[in-house]
Amino acid sequence: MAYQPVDELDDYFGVRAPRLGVVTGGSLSRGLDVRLDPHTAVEELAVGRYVVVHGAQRRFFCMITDIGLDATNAGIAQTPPDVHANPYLADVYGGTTAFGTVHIAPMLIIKSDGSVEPVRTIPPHFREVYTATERDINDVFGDEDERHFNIGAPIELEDTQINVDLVRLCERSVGVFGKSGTGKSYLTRILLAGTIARGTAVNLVFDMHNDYGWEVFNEQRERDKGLKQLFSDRVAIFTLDDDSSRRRGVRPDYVVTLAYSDIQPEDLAALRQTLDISDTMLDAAYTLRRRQGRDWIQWLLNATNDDVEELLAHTSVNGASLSALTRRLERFHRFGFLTPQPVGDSVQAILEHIERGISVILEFGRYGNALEAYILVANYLTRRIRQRYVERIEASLGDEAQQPPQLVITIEEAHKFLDPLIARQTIFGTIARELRKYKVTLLVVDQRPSAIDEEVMSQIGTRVTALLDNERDITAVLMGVSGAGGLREVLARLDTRQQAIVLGHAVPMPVVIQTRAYDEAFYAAMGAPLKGRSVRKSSGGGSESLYGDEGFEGFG
Amino acid sequence: MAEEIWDEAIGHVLRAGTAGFSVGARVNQIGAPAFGMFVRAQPRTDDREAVYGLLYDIHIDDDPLVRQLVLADAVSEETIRDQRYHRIVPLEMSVLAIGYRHISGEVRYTLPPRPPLSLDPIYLCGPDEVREVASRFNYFRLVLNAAQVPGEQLLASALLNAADTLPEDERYPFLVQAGREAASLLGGDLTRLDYLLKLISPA
Repeated sequence: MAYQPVDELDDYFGVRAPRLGVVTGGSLSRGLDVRLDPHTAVEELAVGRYVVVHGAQRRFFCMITDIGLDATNAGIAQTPPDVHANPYLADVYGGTTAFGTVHIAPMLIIKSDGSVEPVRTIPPHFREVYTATERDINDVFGDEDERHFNIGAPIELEDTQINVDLVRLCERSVGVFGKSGTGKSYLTRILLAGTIARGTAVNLVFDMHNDYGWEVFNEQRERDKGLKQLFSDRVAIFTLDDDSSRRRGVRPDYVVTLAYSDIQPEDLAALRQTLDISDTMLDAAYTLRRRQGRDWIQWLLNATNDDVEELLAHTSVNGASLSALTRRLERFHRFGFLTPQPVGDSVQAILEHIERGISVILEFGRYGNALEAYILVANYLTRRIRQRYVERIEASLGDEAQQPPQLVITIEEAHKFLDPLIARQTIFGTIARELRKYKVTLLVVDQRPSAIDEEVMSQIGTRVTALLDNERDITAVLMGVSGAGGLREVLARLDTRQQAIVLGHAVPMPVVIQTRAYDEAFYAAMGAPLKGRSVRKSSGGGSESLYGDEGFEGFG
Repeated sequence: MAEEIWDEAIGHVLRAGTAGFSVGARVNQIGAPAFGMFVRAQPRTDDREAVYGLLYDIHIDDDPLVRQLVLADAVSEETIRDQRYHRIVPLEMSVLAIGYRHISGEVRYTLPPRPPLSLDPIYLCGPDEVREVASRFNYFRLVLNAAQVPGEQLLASALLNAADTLPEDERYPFLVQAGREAASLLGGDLTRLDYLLKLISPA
């Protein structure tokens, strides 16, 4: 070793990304161990950051999944040097006898021509590890184009972009997860804006808290534009609560009403947990539907004692269950959007907009606080819209031109729809399992992914996850992801705001992002003409395998 | 121009081996050399390599006159000076070889291919030469592994001497890098490492 001032080395080698250390061990399945150089400050590193191992022929694009401290001599832990009294000792021991380590997960290989391919091998011992440069990131994630949409930047590489493949995003269901207050709505709005801006899909958003339509107040109590303001001719606002919409200065395009007669026992099945509806109550509902026809709810709510006694005498319905069901249904009286006679056909109105490529945002107004209203309406509308889609797809006989546009249905509090106990009975469980067969997919927004049915979770193609701190939720999100052990550490240490990990079908590798700002620049970009070259290079057949093959059956 | 101390030989080779050599000198030459200094055994002809070493022991053997004088009741200053100037046993300095200058001009940090010969002159290295020889740390192992020398003490003195030849703002980085090299060699022996680092610590 020789003493040379660092400046001279830089003069000699030219400007490079900082070298972090060298590979000292590991495996493809466990990841690689890296010993950090003495000058590398451990506390400046972070899990989730990208690094590149320079192999002899190719670059290995990796993510830091763990950071540690080690020593060449275990005895130093028993008699640590007094570095506070003598800083010189800290400068000498740091990086030599006592040193930092990072564990990195190889994600992709970047070949010498810039093309990327899945990682199937690892670099040899002592290859140098560098912080990923803008060039490395761009080689992996490409530029923004008609299909790829910028959703943020890697941590501490703000000059680069992470672009999701919107077509792949929409062709399978998407999950946006994160604990309360981590910006799930904000992330969702960015994704929705991307699909609308690029025309990748038409959206139906069940907007529980009026977060997406016209405008929303951010944490600084400033007004953020909603999707309607960004895409006035490609977004329509429907409302269940006209008064609320108008109080907020929103002029809805359509006021949705539902008739009692439209609600079927199947719609109640989705409310089993929320309204505590038992099997015998559901059986009673089916019996009533059979005897009284479409107006069974109104009949029950207006029934006299004689009517009830007559029903009990001639059916196997249990009296207590019928009383309980009646009490549950009486709550519907509070819902102003439920009327004896509907004003127009809401399902048809939504479908007409969707056919024209106009995304529909259904605001719930004050009913957003009533979970049973949200579940009832979302389930009711989705069931019927999906049925029309099935009919259209089957009628098209495979003719793409005759098929309706790709539809993405956004639901919040998704675990209420996709709980293991009811997921098989609700339309949302069905859609999640169908994949892209009928061109209807879900965008589920939830803070409790562990409460979502495992099979449904395994079919969620792309997962965008903000901070989660519950072990079960983290496990649920990472289910079926290779190298999940490392990502677990990353996921549990995201910032509480504006950071997320994106993994799955729409990105070539799991990626931690600093979410794109939802500001004036974003608004302008949504209307601005696109710039930038097309695209990620592929290496022949490598690209397809990189994204998973056509036979993808989910994470599980 | 005034002659510097490194322009004049401090002694001559008495005994030599590839691992090191002894230097004989007059007692009145004791003012210049010191423990841990870089020295050079300069061959008298160009067909041999100059050998670099670290001065690690200076000792003065007795002689018959000194044995008598130490028993005398009173010895005059004149007698003492006379004894020192005319004594027949030289002052001896031991040098640990740390490298040599190859005929290509490059300094190599291995034991020299052959030892210096008797009566080859020994010079103290000047600041430029010290900076050149000490700029690489490959000689550390030779010093730390030498059985007959106080390795940590010798290396520490050599490093402090070398640091003194550098501009002030380069001394600390130099000592840090030297300390790191030592740490990589002595990582398994924290007692020795800690002792060495405390000796060279600028604090």
